Amino acid sequence: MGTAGDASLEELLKAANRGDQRAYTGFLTAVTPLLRGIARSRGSGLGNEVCEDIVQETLLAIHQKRHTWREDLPVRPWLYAIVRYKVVDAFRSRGRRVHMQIDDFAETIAAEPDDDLTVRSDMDRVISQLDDRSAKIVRSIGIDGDSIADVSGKLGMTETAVRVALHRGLKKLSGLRERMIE
Amino acid sequence: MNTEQFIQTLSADSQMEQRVDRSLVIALVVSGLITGGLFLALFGIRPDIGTAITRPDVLLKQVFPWVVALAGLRIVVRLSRPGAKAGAWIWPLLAVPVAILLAIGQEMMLISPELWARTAMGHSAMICLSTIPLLALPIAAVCFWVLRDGAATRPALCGAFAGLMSGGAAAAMYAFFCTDDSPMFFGIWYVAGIGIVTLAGAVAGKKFLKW
Repeated sequence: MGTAGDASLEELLKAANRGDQRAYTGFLTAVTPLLRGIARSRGSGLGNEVCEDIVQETLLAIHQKRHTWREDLPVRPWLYAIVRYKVVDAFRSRGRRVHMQIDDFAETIAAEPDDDLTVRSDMDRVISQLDDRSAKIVRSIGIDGDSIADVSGKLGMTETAVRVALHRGLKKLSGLRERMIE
Repeated sequence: MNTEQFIQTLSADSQMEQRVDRSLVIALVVSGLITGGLFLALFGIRPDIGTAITRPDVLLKQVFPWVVALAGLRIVVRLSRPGAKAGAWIWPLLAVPVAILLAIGQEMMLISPELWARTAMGHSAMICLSTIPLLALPIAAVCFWVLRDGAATRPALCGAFAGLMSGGAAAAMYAFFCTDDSPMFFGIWYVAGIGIVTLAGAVAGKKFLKW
C-alpha cells in the first residue's frame, strides 16, 4: 500500500464520499495493489489475468457499497470484509473454494499489475451487455479518459443526464455480474 | 479495459446511495404503524387496556415485543455494514427470554399442574400464531427492500435479525388486541410467531440480501 497509511485511507474515502473525485481515484488506486496481492496469493494457478478480473469485480463492489462505511470507524476492517466476501464469491464462480481469514490480509504483499495487461477483461464482456449508450459512456470515460463534460459534448446529452446514465450503468454492471456468477 | 481505466470510470460516478440506517428506521416505523394501525382499526384494541396494563404479566406481554423490535433494529443496522459485529444490543435481546421464563416459573408456582396445558393454549393460540407472521410480512418486505442497499456480508444472519425485528414489531401491535395474558401463553405463541418470521427472514436474507 505504498506510503499511504491508514489515516490517509480514511481521509481519502471521507473526501471521496463528499464528492472529491481526485481523492476517490486516490483511494481506489491505493487499495488496488492490496486487492491484487490478495487475489494472487489465494488464486495462484488461476493466472494473473483472472486475478485482475477479480480485482476489478471487488473494486466495483467497493464502489457500489461505499456509503456503508461509517466515517467514525477505520476503513480497513470494512474494506477487508468486502474483499473477503467478494473474493470468495469470485473464486466460487470460477469453481474454486478459498478459505480466507481477515487476519491474513495484513500480511498480504501488495502487487503491481503486469506490463502485458489484459486486453479484454471480464468486465469488458459485462460492459458490452449494457445498452449502447451506457456502454459508450463507461468506455469513453475509462478508455478514452474523457471527463463527464467531454462525454456530454460528444453524445449531445446534458452533464446531469450523463451522470445519471453512468451511475445506472455501473449499478446494472454489478447486477449483470451477479447473474453471470449464478 | 485495464484496472487503472476502470478506476477512472468508477471515480467519475459521484452519485452515492442513501445510508441504510435512517431509511431502515423510517421503513420500520411507517410500515409498522400502517400495518398495526390498520389491524387495530379493523379488530380493535382490547377494551380493558388501561387497567390490564397495570398487571405485571400484561405489562411484560406489551413491552417485550418492543424490546425485540428495537434491539433487532440496532443489530440489523450493524449487520448491514461490512466488518461490523452484532454489538451490545444482543444483551437486552437476551434479557427477553430470561424475563419471560421467570414469569412462566412464577405462574407455574401459582397454578396447579393440571391447568398448565389449558393455560398455555389460552383461547387464541392459532389466531396469535398466524396473525403475528401475517402482520410481520408487509413490515419485513419494506425493510428487506431498504436493506438491499446495505452490504450484509452475512446475508442469512442479517435477514434473520430483520425477521426478528419485523416479528417483534408485529407482536407489539398484536398485543394491543390480544386478551390472552398468561406468560405461558405468550411465552409459547408470541415467541413461536416471532420465531417463524425470524426463520423466514434467514431464508429470505440468503436469497435477497446477497450482493
